[in-house]
Amino acid sequence: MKTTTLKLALAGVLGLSSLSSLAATELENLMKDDSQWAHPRKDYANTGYSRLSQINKGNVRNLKMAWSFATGVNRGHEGAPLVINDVMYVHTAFPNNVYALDLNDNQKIIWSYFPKQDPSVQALLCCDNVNRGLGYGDGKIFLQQNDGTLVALDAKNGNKLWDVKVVDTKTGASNTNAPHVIKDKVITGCSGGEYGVRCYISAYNIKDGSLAWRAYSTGPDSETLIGEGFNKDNPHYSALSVYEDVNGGNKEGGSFKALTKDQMKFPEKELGTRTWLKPQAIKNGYEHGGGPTWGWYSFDPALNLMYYGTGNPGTWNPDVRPGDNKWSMTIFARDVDTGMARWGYQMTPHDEWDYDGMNEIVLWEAKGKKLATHFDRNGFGYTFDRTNGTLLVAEKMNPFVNWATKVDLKSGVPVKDPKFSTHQDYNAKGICPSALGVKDEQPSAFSPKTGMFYVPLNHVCMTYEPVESKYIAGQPWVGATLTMFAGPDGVMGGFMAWDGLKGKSAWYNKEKFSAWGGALVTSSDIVFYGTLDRWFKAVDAQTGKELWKFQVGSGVVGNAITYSHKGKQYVGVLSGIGGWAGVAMNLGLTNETDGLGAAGGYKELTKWNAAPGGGAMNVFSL
Amino acid sequence: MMKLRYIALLAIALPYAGNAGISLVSTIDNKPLAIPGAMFDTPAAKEFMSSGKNAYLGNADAIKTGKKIFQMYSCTACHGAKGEGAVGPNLIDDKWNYAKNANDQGIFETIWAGTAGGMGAKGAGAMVPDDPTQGLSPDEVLKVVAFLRSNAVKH
Ligand code: HEC
Repeated sequence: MKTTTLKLALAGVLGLSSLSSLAATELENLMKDDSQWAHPRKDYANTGYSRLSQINKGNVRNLKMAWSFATGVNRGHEGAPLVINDVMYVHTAFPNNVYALDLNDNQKIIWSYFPKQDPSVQALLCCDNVNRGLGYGDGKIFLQQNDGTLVALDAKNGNKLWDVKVVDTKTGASNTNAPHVIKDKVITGCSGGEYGVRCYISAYNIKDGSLAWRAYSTGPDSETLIGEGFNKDNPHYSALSVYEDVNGGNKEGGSFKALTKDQMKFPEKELGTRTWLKPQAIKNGYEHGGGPTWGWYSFDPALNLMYYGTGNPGTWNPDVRPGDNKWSMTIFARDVDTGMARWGYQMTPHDEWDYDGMNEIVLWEAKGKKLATHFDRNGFGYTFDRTNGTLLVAEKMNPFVNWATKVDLKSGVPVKDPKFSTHQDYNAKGICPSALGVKDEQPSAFSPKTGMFYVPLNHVCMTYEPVESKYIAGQPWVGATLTMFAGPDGVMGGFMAWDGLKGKSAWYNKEKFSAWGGALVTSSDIVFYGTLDRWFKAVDAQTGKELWKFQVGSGVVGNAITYSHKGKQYVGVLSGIGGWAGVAMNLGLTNETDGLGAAGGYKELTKWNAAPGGGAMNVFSL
Repeated sequence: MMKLRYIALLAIALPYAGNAGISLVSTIDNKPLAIPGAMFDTPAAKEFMSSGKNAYLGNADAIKTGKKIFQMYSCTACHGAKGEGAVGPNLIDDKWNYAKNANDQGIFETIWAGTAGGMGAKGAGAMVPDDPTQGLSPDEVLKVVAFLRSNAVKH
């Protein structure tokens, strides 16, 4: 009797584990199949690259709109739909509706899902009512609602299979990220860097929504999941302090001098609490330390490591949080089964500019090396050895970056320029880039064929005045006021090809507005992306020369995708202006001095867009 | 019990509203705002409650304090440093989502109890319902309004 039960139990366990690995294999096979777009950035490596080549440089000028689908929802439509086995799954901005469209039957709606969310959550979303898309795995579509609820829907009929609360909106937290399925887990983040939320990243079991692990961005090692062997090959990443105060540091006239590697003390433990020196604005700064995690997560199956960036430390006023404020502004590599961190590198220690480090990390190989490249808001393009985090390249993405003169490759520390240090009640001028970063959330693409990255860019500078502000749970806790204006090029955006080994751009196109749409690159060496003045463009991956463009209904903040159906290649992109760049416009701000358009830059958007921007999926074919 | 407490609340709120002074209503649903009279504890707040006028308009000290409060409560995050607008609307031009915000009483009501379209209540007791120690006092609201009005630009 006993043995039978045991055998049965064993069989159950085995059955389960093979089931979950089956699910993982299914997704991995879908990722390899270029007719599908089954993952937010198409593959685990976050490349946004497709081998489809029917649309090529010779015929791309014949691209025509095949169909479009109005989502019925206004405001910023970031992210992209998924395409799985002849069904397209489209998401919308708040209230985050989902539509499954039958590509075999003229895009007829198979099912739809309308979440019921408290409208008050919209007030928590700093930068428009965006949602960056869906995840897929194990026959389920995953939706991370703005109100913190992660939902698993049956991909066949849209029935809700389970849901779970990821963050608590009462603390001011919310969600905007796409859930990413990695193996048998669904990974999801946290927004709320402007609310003093202590953010984390969470892994749920796709089967039943139970929590597998959760790693905070700040706090004790036991909660940031840092243990033995962390930063083994780069122990200086675990230094107690990387700067020395000049003229009193955290006060007007003060600044921070980078220590050399020899001057640093490492490795140290418990840095997620110990780098929040006293006095903090609140008792223990790390408890409201921010470090949001709303980006695009990548994964290396061979190393079993996932990669993501944490955002800005809580309150933008740096004077009230002395110390390096770890592990905000950090790229983490974590074991996806346990969440334990293998390495972590802080890009902007003691942030003074809101250079939120959540942008994507793209995995690639060159010269037999396993690499990871990241374009940070702070304006540096980084390339790492992704096995251990060794920093190989850190170069300015554009010469207008001025807050730091360089990153010292030996120590990994950015050498800050004292001129641009920010302090309470002092309005620091001419800081480049602005808090929008040289690049924001809009993901870059990587072509293994050209070996180049294709990167949508902002070209905006700012004034930044930290101010005293009070932490109240659930209320904004920002602590700085800023104004933004076009950078030295006189335009607000750009788009470039970047060589991740040399740390140099191969070509650079100016854009009138911030390029706020994510990039797609195909093996026929065509790069697709959309712009805020409504263009959806194809450019030559080698030269940047424009090959084709089409004007859609509203500005593009979504990511371009491609798939094929019945042997025909399609490219598509969501339109619907919004996000940080478009939010002021969506709210009907039209005056010269309004919002982010302080210099009249984004104000021009109203000449190109109706407000609020209407959401639609636009699909093109030859 | 519930009813009793409700009546008790009304009893506190009503005499005030009835007292020759103004009666405040919510911008959300036009229902009366029950703000304990004891909260109107400065001359300016008392004057506001009797005449609906903001005595701090044009007062340089009050404007300076108002600016600090505007920053302290992160109004700047949504409305910009001077109220020029950011992710929330401009508060210093002559276009209003709610026309009543052009006058002192209307804008007080909006800041105190919020709107249905994304503006949270900021008044003490209204901001964090289970923690009445958080939020602006009536006097502070009047100072913030004085700050905003001092930045007003006509178009
Ligand atoms: C989280 C963002 C946010 C914060 C913080 C915020 N507001 Fe607002 N506010 C809004 C939004 C959004 C609206 C538009 C609401 C609507 O149309 O219903 C608004 C509307 C207003 C209005 C009415 C504007 C009009 O056109 O009629 C006033 C006045 C105002 N806010 C004052 C304040 C003050 C004072 C503070 C700080 C104590 C503050 N707000 C903090 C987002 C915010």
